[in-house]
Amino acid sequence: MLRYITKRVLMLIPVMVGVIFLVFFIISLTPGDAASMILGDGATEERIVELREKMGFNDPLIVQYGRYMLDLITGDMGTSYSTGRSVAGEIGQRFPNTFKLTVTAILLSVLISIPIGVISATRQYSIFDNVGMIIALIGISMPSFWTGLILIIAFSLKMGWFPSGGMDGLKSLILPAFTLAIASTASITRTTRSSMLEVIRQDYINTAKAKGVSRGRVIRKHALGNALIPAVTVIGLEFGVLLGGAVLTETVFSWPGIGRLMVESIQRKDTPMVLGCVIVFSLSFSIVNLIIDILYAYIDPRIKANYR
Amino acid sequence: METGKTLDWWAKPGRGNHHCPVGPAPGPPAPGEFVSGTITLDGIRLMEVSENEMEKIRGEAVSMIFQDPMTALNPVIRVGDQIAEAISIHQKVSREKAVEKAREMLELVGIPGNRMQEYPHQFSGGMKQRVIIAIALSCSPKLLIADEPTTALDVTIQAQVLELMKRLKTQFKMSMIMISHDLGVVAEVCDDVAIMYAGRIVEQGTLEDIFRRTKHPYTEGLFNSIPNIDDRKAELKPIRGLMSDPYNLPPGCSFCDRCDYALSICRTEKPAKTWFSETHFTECHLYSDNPDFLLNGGK
Repeated sequence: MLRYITKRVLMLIPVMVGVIFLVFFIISLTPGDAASMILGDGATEERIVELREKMGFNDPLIVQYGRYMLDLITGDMGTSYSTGRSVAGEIGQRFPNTFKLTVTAILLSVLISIPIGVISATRQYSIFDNVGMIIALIGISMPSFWTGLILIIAFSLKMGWFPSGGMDGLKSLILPAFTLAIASTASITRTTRSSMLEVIRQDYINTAKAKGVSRGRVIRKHALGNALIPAVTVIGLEFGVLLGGAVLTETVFSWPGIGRLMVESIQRKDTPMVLGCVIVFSLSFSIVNLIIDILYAYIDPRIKANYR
Repeated sequence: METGKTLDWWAKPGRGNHHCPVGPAPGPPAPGEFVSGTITLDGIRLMEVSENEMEKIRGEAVSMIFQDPMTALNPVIRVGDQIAEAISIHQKVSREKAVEKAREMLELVGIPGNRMQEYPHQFSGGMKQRVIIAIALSCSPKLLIADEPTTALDVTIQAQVLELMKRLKTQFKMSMIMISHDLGVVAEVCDDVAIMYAGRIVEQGTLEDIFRRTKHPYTEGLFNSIPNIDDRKAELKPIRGLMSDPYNLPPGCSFCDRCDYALSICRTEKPAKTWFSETHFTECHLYSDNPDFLLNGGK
């Protein structure tokens, strides 16, 4: 098991190098000039040329890439072109906010979706199941910026229960967390339901019933454990996506997270900051995936047997 | 059924034989329904008890062994725990006691007790079936229903498992309903045999009655379709035709379209039971007027 984890962690290195390479060249293809962006509108042509030379923007891309990678190995993610602050510092400040939002959203959706999925499966085609699945379909279909706006209109403008944006204590966390949770709840519910439906038709469920195990215990102990693998996969993926992809929700609720930071940085062509964000996204996504794979081993001993 | 006896429930595969003994199974799946009859276990009418009472009966009074051992054990629970679960549900014993009993059961079916910490995927098919037998017997049931327990096993393991079941049946003084389509297995294990066709028992009797004094043309057809070990070149004589649609059975005898002896009455009227002895009966028109009618081997 330890060997497997070490192997997986080492595999992160080529993945990260590849991701940074791709993003570095894609950014260089976008229009706009970083030097004139840094100096602002009033800058003279000579000063822009001078800065370009000084920052090494005239060197071949591959040289710039090499220079960035060398700095990165020493732990230096560079400084932001637009604010002049260190990228690592800025991300270190923003990432915990995104993390907080993501964890709350995922907890909310797991708490809601697993029970609904299980009940829907055990009472397939009942009213509960049909209504639940229709709601889930609606949840999946609503884009998060729209859900966010509706929640703001309802609960902050009309009712005045929660603030419409910003980060100010637990109250301000609730609306954005719900916005994120709605979409992921929908997909986790559907996955739980379908894997549960498959599991409760398995022979070993009959064996458990034949032993005299009560209906509730059959579901909790015999079915749920087997149905969790697909659900855990989806939960993990949603978690990974939210860690970096809550861009729209963070923007709607002006949540000072890393998603918004990246959007702003792209608009300003702030290459070091964008790269920094991308590194954090892909790293957290990879780590979440690794955690899911380790969880599999604890849920299903057959998978554990394959981890060498 | 008498205590300590084994009845075979013989039927064609995939033709509803699995739905007959409703003991541990929760009744026939849709579109099936109970048309008539009762199921009584030690004076309890099983079709009238509530689901909660049924849960107490399952595993304690009636146990069941399923057809495919490869899928009948929960892959994510240790085998020891799967056995201990049955014990702790029905007997008021501590967790340690249940685990200890589970170890004994495992050893009883010939698996070393130290393997109870392992998961089903670490066991072979024959061993899994032994584990399932251990689960089924862990609460000393009065009745064991075995639904083709050896069909999925190879012949060597099949013999071992049958031997084990026979031994434990005597040891635990229980009755057994064996659902099978293998007459060899039946001859090996059973005391009484009921032959089913299209959802009805068409012939029932002791092992001797069925094998030596075969009455129903269907039973005879079954024996004719077993290869002859002494004459390997002899052609098999299968029962002609196809099983009639169970949703749309003919008005008369369900077997008449495939029967070499069919009379005109067979098409229109359901045959009644004809008794040949206290144990042996068949449902066939051939015997209603002439109980001494002899089948001629289908020639």
